Amino acid sequence: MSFKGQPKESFLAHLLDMPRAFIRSIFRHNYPNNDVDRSEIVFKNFFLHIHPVKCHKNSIDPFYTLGLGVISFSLFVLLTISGVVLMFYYIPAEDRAYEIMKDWQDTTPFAQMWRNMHRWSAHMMVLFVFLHMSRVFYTGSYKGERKFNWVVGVILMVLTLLLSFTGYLLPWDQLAFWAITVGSEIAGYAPNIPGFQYNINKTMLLASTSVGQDALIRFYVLHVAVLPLAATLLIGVHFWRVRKDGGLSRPPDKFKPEPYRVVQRSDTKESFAPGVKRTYGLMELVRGTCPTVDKGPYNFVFTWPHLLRAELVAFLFSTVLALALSFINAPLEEAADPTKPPNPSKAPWYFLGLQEMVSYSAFWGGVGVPALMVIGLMLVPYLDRNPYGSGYWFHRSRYVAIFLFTAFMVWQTLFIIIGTYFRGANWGWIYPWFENYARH
Amino acid sequence: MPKYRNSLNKDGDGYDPAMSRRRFLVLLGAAAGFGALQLLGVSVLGFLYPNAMKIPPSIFSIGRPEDVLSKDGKLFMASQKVFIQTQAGKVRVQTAVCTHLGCTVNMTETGYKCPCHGSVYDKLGRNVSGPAPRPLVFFDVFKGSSGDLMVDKAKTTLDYDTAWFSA
Repeated sequence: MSFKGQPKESFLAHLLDMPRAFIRSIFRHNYPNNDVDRSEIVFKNFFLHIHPVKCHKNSIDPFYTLGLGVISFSLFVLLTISGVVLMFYYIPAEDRAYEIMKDWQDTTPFAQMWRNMHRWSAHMMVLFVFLHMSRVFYTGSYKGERKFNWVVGVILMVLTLLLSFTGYLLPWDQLAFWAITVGSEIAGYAPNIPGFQYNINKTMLLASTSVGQDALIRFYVLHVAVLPLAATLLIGVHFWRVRKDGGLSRPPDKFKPEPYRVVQRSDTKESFAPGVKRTYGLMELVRGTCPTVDKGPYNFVFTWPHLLRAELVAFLFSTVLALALSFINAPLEEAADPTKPPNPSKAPWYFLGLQEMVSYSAFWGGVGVPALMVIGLMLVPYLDRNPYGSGYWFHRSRYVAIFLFTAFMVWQTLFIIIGTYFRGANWGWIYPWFENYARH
Repeated sequence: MPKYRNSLNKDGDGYDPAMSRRRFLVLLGAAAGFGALQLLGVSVLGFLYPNAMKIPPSIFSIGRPEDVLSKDGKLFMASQKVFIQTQAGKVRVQTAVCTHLGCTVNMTETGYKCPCHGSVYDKLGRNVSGPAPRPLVFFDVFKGSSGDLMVDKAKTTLDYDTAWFSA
């Protein structure tokens, strides 16, 4: 049977049309060069659907976000890719791991490049996560309904640090061995459960009383499976909450278009807006004050292309950064020597503040103060009672909060600088302009 | 909860129970689920804490008495991370593992220093500055059945006078 006015196509015509039909079966929308298709592509594409169809202009202002969150996420993606590549060769065995690092330097094509990329991207991710946290603090973006997302962010920061820590243990060089030794001893300062012969925290990390093969496989599993999965899950939650909070924080719009008058019938209590000619499905619930029908929200632009272009720029920036850094060789110390640590024995830069604190007191520097710092950061949105300043850089009403956070960050930065440049042999005080110093 | 959530809340004889049957069953189910979760947690934690661990033996040999006692001075024995100090036919063995966070200390002119966090000990291993919370311990030295001088890491003392062993 054929439809009226439309003759049935011949089989040849059907075959000729097949390429088009096949592509159409994958992409169930047209090329997004008009508003309807721009909406559809974001709606129907799995990879894009975490985005809203439209986003506020403020969310893509490079001078508001500085792209820090997307750069952190891009580095996480690059780290996942380069990490999986490295996993094809790496063996988490005491007597093999270091040899493989050496093989990567000499005999495996491009392996050193991937390792460099992985190591430096990890350093950059730590840096950009800190910068992103500072951006969110200075713009007051943790206020209102965004409180808990800040907490998720703090957990993600801790996961980033744990991923870095478990990662630099895997080459099984001197840095790795003594970092696990010190790290597990710090865990041993956390209180034990009564009745256990060995400190349970330390034993669960090492599966022994000293660092060896059992510890290496645990840190490997943490690094390649447990922590990345936890981070991926929480990144999803983090993004989802940003989306459900109506995009990034922003100052209230100065100009508000007049909302459509909504008429309610007195008899049936049915509401309708005059002038509506189309029917609408419920697409999404977002917070807002006025229904705007037939007209997009004020100051909103389409995700395709505006937001996606901004994200692409941030991703390309991260990629270029990682590729540029991959020309610098990642540090690799001597093979692990369980008898003697190098002198001085220094962690990577982001842990040197912690190492400096630990050099005053093992419990307070390694367990007490870091725990208080993480809990304190998590409590920031619940302690800050000032309702103003969300969406503004350095809002004047927040001078106390801004001062306290800056003091905290400067304090940690100073410790990192001291640990990096002012500590020499036997962790003694040196002046870098008088003495040579070891650093990673 | 409202007093009459639905008509089934009320017993036939008009007695109004403090907790509805539905709520009771929900609490029972939640408690069972929570218990199952605890079991899972305990099993994972127990799994991560092995009953038998590869712990190196605490007793080791430092050599024949005539070899060890014949020379004077302080030597670092790398394989066991101990310092062997001999003086006028006496020997004592002290740990080289920093009491702070387990790095191996270095011998210096004034005593010992740790390269990781800067703990400083004097010549007798007493912690004088830095983060080290305790002095370096001495291990018990005895003559084994083979005739070798043996050290037992499980028996420790802080008394630097009684730590000496003479054959």
